[in-house]
Amino acid sequence: MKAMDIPRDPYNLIITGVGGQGNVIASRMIGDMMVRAGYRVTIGETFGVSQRGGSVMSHMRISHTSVWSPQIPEGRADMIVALEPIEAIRVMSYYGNPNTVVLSNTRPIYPVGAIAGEMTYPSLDEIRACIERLARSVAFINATEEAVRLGVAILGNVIMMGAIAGTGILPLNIERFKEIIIKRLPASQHEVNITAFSRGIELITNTAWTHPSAR
Amino acid sequence: MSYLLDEREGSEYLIMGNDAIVRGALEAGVAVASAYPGTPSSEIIENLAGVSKERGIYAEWSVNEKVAVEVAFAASLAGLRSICAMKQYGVNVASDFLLHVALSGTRGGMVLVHCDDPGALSSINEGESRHFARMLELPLVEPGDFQEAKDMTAWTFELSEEIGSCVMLRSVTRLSHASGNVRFGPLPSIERKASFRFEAMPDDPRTGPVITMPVVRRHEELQRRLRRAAQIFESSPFNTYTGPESPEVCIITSSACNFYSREATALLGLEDRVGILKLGTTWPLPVGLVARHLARAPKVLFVEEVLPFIEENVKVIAAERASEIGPTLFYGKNDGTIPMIGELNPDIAARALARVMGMKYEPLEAAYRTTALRTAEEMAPPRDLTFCPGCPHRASFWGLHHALTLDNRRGFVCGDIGCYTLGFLPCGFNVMKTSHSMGSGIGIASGFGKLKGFGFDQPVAAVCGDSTFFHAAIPALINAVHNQADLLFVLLDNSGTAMTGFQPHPGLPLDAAGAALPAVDAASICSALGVPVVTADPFNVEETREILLDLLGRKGVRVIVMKQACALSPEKKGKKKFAMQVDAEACRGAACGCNRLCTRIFRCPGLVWNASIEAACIDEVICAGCGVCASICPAGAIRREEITT
Amino acid sequence: MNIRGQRELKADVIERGMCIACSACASICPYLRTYRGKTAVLFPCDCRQGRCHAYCPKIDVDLDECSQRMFGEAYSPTPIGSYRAIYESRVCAATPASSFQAGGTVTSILVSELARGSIDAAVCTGRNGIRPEPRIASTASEVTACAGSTYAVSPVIESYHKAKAQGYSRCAITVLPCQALSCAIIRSNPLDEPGYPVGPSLVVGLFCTWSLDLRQFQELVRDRVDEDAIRKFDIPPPPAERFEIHTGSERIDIPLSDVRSCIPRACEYCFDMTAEFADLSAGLVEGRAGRNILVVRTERGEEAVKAAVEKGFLEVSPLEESIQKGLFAAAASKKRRAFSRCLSEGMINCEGETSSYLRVNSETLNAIII
Repeated sequence: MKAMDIPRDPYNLIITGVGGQGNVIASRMIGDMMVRAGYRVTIGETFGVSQRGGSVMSHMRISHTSVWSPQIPEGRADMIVALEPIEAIRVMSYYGNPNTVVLSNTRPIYPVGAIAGEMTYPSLDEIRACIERLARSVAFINATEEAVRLGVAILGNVIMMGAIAGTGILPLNIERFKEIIIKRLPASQHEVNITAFSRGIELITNTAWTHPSAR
Repeated sequence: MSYLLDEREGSEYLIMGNDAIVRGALEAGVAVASAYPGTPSSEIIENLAGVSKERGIYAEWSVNEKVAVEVAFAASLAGLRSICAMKQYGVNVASDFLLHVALSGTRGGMVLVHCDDPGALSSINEGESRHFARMLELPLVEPGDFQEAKDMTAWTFELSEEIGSCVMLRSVTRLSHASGNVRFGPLPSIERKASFRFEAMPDDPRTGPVITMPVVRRHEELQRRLRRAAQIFESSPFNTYTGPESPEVCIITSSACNFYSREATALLGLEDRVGILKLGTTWPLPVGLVARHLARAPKVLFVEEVLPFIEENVKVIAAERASEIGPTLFYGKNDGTIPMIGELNPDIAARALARVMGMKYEPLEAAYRTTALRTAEEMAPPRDLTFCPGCPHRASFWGLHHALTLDNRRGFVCGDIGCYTLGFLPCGFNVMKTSHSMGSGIGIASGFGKLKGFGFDQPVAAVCGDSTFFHAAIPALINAVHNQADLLFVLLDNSGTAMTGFQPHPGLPLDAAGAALPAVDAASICSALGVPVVTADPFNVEETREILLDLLGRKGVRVIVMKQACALSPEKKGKKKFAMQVDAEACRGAACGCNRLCTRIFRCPGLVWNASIEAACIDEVICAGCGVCASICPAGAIRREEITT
Repeated sequence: MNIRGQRELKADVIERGMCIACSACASICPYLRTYRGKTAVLFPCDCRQGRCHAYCPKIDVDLDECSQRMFGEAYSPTPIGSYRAIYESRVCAATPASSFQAGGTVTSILVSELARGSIDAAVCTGRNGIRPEPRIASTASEVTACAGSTYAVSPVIESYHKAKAQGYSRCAITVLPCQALSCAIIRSNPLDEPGYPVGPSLVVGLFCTWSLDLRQFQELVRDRVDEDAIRKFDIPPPPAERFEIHTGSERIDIPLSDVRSCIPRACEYCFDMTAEFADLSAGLVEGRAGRNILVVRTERGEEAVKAAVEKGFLEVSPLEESIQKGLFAAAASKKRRAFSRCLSEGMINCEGETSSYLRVNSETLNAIII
């Protein structure tokens, strides 16, 4: 695997979660890192109403040459990163394909329907089984748990970003992260963010992938 | 947002379409920026306000889009460059004034940025605003990617000054809220002097008084301006053609559909057979340019959203220049190749192109597709929209629902635009029964309130947010008072324009840049109309319900102000007033006498039903600590303890 | 009894126009309340069986079951139901003075019960303009403030539920016949709930020929009198055909036919004139001011009357035969009319899935209708 390259052009990455989880800032930061590495990036997002408890997605197109559409076509996601586990299933159903790699947080955010006792929220094992049937490889990270341990629950998104970097699939690393947070975050927050990012790299390195052979 | 001030020409950033527009305006030396918040346009003024001190800009959140355009126009008359931003609805609101701006012409470059929302991702209609350009006779441009969003914004100020007309620049959600690489240009100096010249004869557009009379003569001048624009558009670098000399199909596209057209062509591997004419100047159409490209191909496919604006205007050219362009088959919305509703995406464009080319587009194996969709249906419960934990609207609608139901005369609520529009959903106890445009709730209620003579006996209420109140509700409220309509006006005052990102409005003591301004008190305005005005805190559940019940029994216009700040407001965000806890022993759960009132009906996301212990519990991460649920529990099992710091 | 839930309560009672707003279903849970004489369903409840449906006197009431529990016998075909004794009664010296409707019997008994500590509260009804307003009275003066008939149904059972929630465990309650029936059901623990609290300690019923829809009644009276000035209502005996409203200074008459147009539909199906399921029932003696007819039905009722008489709150004497005959005739007439109507509209002893308003043994039913 080459140091400064992407497996496909364009490389299509979807970051998904529930409004308020820091989806947007995660995609921006990854975008910044890739732009610094010399790529052309398009990010497509929806905000506004979806923030009120709804599902959110950031579609990222990473390319050497062209500017691609802010919406990834059906079945063309190369990697799906989910800050909330059932969102991984939802996104896979439309954008996934048998070669998609999925990285997911473990902590559920219950939809109001589930909270109200009207619908059941599946167990993590059920979720894992579903995604395994549809994707090429799957890894689960306890991002929120780790973030809480660091004292800042919202940093789950940065831990997941670290995990993406840790897969080695994209040319992302801690140095690049340090460079871009200077522009995106106030100085007081730098240290804890760097710690979170590093923790993400550690976690993915120590996590078992399902179908690890084909990566 | 300091990167927007980067003076280094050629520096490259990954930025949102709206930020690109901001940078373009800065590169053009914009002096005045005005807007009313509306997704997907709100970031434009927010970011211009953010750099207003450094760049000497006056940025204003105006009370509504009509006034915003009037403010920008004044700047133009004073020789300054001005920008006005709004979502698609805003053009409707400003259109009366725009009609006259078109006729009178402008001086300093004036650009109207309107951000449409195809598919209504954050709107309650997907109306197009491009037709206004044709109707009002203003030039219209549509950037087709992020770099163009910047470059074209900067350019439109020049264009506006060249022809003496306001220019409309149309963006869409998938451009405004999407991000891409943008290379910056130089920033100019910001020496400007405002002065309004009016000494000369009225005929002089630069130095005479500004009026639209004599109308027919001004109209002639307006059309001359448009013809000049069309001439300039013939050679504009923003109209591009890519593809073979003689394609089998020529796609004509604009705006974000440019992305979809290019991706569709690539997905089908048709780069050598299909050409794409991306139009950046879409009104008036550069006839010569369009006719030349029409002549290239026997088939033309229009890829645009939402309505067939370019399609129909190009067909006029095709009819007029029929002999030049030869026999052509047109595909687009009118023949159903592209849907006339909703937003487009690469798949829709690919399917359409495939159909025109007689090919098949199958992105995924059918079996995988079916399995994937079925899995999502079974395993991924949908996420209903709901109010945030701690939202005062939940409490206000709780009170309104109780009062109207107890009153038992089939009373109802006319709604309006804001977070509280969700009041027609279960999260608002389905209280709202009508919802249209800004300020229309009270207008409709004013109508209902006069139907007593026809045997109408249902109590009427109208809800309206504090921002909406200043935007449009006041005239309709005056109408109701003067005509003695019977209605209850409920002003939901959560101290900000919450839905669009908590921008300030005249009711708050802040301007767009966060500096202090005198606030206008909405309750005082209502009192000045001579009607009874009561203020209540919706978090005092019992008291508010009693007040509402009493008010519902009266006649004429009555006003209640439900005053409680938004959970995401700066004063509340991240701070909890109460620590909440459920006593599982006291909780009645699903039994008769409660049947899960808090989780099944009240449905605040901070309350979770724990099926294993058959009791409700608090999700401490999500709970905002407002304490309202403690007031509604019939068993008194929800306890609240004030947090003292 | 075939107990169902809110869904059936709505369909079979409220939407059918059979709801009298007796308030037996109200304030037991967050979903049902009364307001200004109407029952409001605040939110849907999907409980398959609920107290609301069980307590309602207008759906699935097994009169034999109720009678068996209260009196140890099947439902009686007697015009005034099961009873132990019947008297003429009136207030005595120990009861503080008040503007009694007639004999002040109910007030006297409640004051006596409070004085001897056999109840901790009396849920009775005062008035706010025309509007009946239940009160949870724990002192004699609070009880006497509630003297006088109100003519529209008072949501007194709702207040009883609230009194229980407030901690009163031995309540007396003054009710109309439909409400007395609810109280009998409430006392019976219809859903077999473990740890079920005891029902009302003493149920005092009022005679009732018909009641009035409060909102319609308010509409009728609105332009004729200032509600707050009303001191008393009265209906003089036939052939007067008028409804009297007494203020401090004048008397306003309304044609009885106008008032009758405010009678709720549910009253046309009501068989009970004398509150047959109360411990004690009291009503007017026609043509004789300052007196009541007092019917004693249960041991508890007997105990209450005995104590009131002994302590000088109440005076009782034998009821004249002619008066008793008149009472029986009127009560029998209402009963026969109601049962006939119910029967002809298929509301009695329904089989299978159809909900039944009443269930009663056929022997008694035949005896009533003859």
